[in-house]
Amino acid sequence: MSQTFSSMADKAIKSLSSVILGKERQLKLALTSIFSNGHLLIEDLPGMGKTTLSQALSKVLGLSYQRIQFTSDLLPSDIVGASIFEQKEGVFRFHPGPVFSQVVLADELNRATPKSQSALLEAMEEGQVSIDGDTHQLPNPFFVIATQNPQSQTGTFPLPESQLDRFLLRFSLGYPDAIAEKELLKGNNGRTSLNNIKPIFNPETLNKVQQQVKTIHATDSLVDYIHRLVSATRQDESFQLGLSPRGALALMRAAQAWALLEGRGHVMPEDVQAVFVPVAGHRIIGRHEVQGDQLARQLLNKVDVVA
Amino acid sequence: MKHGLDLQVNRTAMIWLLVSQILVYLPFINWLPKWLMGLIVVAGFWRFRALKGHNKLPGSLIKTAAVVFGLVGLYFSDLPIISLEAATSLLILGFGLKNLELANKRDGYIVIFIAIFLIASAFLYDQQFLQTVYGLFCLTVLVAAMISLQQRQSEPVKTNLKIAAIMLSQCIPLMLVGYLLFPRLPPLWSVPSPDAQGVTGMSDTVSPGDLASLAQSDRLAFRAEFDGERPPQHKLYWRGLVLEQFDGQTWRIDDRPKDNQSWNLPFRQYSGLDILEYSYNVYIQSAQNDWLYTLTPSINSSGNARRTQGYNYESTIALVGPQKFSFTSYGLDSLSVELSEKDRQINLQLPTSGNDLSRSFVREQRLTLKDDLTFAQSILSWISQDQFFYSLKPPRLTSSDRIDEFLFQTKTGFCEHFASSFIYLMRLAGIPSRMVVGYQGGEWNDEQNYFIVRQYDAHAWVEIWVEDKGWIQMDPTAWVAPSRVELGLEEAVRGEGTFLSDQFFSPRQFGFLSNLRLQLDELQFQWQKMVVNYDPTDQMAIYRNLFGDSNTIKTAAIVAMVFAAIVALWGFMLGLFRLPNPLPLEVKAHQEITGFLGQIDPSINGSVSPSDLLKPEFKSSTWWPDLNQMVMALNNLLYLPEDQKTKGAEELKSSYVSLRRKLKAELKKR
Repeated sequence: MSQTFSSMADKAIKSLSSVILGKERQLKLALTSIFSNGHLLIEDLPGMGKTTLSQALSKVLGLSYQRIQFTSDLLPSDIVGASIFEQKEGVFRFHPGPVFSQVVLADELNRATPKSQSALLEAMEEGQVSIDGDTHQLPNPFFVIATQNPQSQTGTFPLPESQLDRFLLRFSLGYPDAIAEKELLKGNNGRTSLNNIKPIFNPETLNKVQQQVKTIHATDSLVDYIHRLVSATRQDESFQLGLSPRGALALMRAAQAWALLEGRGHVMPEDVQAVFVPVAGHRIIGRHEVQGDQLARQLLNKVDVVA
Repeated sequence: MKHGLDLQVNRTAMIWLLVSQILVYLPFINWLPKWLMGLIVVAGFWRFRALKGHNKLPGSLIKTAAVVFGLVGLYFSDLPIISLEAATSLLILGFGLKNLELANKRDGYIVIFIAIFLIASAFLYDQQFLQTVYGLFCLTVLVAAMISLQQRQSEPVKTNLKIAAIMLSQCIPLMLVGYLLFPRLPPLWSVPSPDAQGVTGMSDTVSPGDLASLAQSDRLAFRAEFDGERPPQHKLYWRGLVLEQFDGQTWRIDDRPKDNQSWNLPFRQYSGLDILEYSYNVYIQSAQNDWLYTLTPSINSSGNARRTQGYNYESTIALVGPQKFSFTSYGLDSLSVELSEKDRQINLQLPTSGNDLSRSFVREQRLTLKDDLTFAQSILSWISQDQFFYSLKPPRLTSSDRIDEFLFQTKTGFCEHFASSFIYLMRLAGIPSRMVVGYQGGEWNDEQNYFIVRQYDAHAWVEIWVEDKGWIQMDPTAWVAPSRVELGLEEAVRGEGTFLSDQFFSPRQFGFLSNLRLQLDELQFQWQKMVVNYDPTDQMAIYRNLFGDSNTIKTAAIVAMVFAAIVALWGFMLGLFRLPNPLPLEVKAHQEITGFLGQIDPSINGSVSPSDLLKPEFKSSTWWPDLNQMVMALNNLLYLPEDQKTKGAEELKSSYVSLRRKLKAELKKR
């Protein structure tokens, strides 16, 4: 079973690679996030292909797609929708917002005010939206890809830690490498080939994959390793805030999904190492100058795999 | 900041430290310069105020000034440069001033360690039982203070004391073994006895009033334990010194060389005769001089004693600590049979003039009484019949003719007055005579068969030379106040009410306290006999009891083994010898191989997963297959679900062993 899923995933990655050039690791991480039923945060400068990635992802997965561009004057109702009085019928009718979609791209999330940010984050957490006393179920699967400008950019509202914790993974796409960039310049434009992408998954298979991920085997030695990493973030002198239990669970789930992508029925330490930085980077706070991904990488190099 | 606070002495610990300091000072109060006590009280009080937040700790200027003041003060305190007092005072000065900078835990530990050292040094002054009990009490408080120093939260005083007491009582077995078995080495040096100052005791000169003032002290002189029979109370004359030189007022030792021949009594001659023999042990706590006090005549059977001129004994080692001496005494009335011309001259020496009344009195008496012994006895009976009085507070003799003034005017005196005047009369009559000073009597403890002799038992008596008989002991005091020799000074001056009247409080005033005092002394005596006087001889006896007859090397080996066993047991209880849990093979293999590979490729360490050890760069090496095998086995053992494992510990072990060997060889080559 996992074999078929992993070959499907391989196909999906191949397909995505034709759109996003030379970013296989990030593509795998994006799939990892989806397979673990978690949301994704991409932190990057504008023009790196975030939007293209999310569009391509939704196509490969066979899911509906909506994009919300977050701006400083965005209101919560612009996200979740609103009840509007229908004059013809004389009743209020709920007009669902863009959040009612299977894949939602929340572009430049940190440009919006905290109030609007939290409207989306609440929807992510609950899987439903309540407006005027009515509860509206969000579609299943529901998957948010948020993008964020680096905090140093002007006009941003940084997300608080409690909300960052809701994203399973965070990574940056970064600049393309030389080959990919030259390819891009030659006119092999991602946006044009976007149309050629065929769906490989559908909501049903995706659901099965997500169930499968939970069954990927982890031995005691491996769980020990994960626990060592997690407790190191809590005890190490250079950490001010370590991983929460939710973070620890996210690490486990992501490692399982990565193992599935690798075509294995059990988790290996390499899987944990592959997802540790994207899982932990945005959840930890360092005591000193070293922060985020760099801090997570340092810790990874300190903790013994076998002990 | 967190670390900074952790290093500070907390409030409770500071109070512990201050209290324990006070306890440690107490035994020294009598011995140290008073201003020094003042200085350390000020320093301690300053620290206390700082603790309360009323003021800060002094700056370096004040601290330096305090140190300089203390040192200058010590310099002008009239202490001998190399003496126990000087050393202790210096230590206590530093100890007290430490309060001015006592802030960190490190300082706290220093204070505690010095305090423990001070407790030990207090034993240089006093080794009595009560001091030991007090020392143990201080030690408990200090350990409790040390515990408090380690605590982040303050615990009740009782809790800390309890922990300290438990800890100390756990040390008792080690203490006992150390005390009983650890080789007793002779001291490398000795310090002058602290008793030499300011404490009453016998001196080598006697003027009228000297012994009377000594008799105001109830300080212990010595204890004498009798093995069997003891002499009757009125025969207990503890001979100390013989004084032969007289200048009209003061009696002194005549240190001109004597004709030793006449003193060498062949004691052996007595042993066959039907003469009472008393064997006894004298225990001296400490004394300013080396003089020993013995019954006359005695021979020394053990202890570091030496017979000097006459029948006197002195210790061959300084009496800085408790000592035990054993003697045998013989019940003889007279001593020696010969008197050399030189000694006769010495024992007839007198100031050439003065005391005319006495001179004419003797001339008159001598007309009828030609025989020396009869003359002496008639003088004694004159003393007993004429209105002479025995008193602890006799009127002061002021005229230049003191003997006349005493014999014919005041007629009231203490033993030295009577002895002195009697000898004067004897010498005027041409009878060689001399003064003996020492102690008379003592308090008998019936349970333990020993006499307690105190300073107020100090006494002076007389020996006169009678041709063909030798030296005969006479005590004119006994003729005036028979109760002095029968019952002791207390009874003799009861009517006068002067006994120990200088003392503010005397337990003798109450019967039950007096009883308690006797029991306490008994305890002290037992303590001294059993513990303080425990010496290499006793130790050898214990060795012999424990290990049988053995030579030094065997004994040393056994003692060393006992100590090694104790240390081993102790270490075992602390868990020093516990082996670490053996690492599982997988962990050991991974650790060791990543260590080796790390020397080849620095990017490899324990955080590299087994699969990642298979670096492309290693492919060409001879050990690649082994590495491959080991990684497979590791991954199998560690990460595959139980039912999928294909490789076991065997593969891991063989590949690991061979890989390790090859890696070692390769690393050696580099």
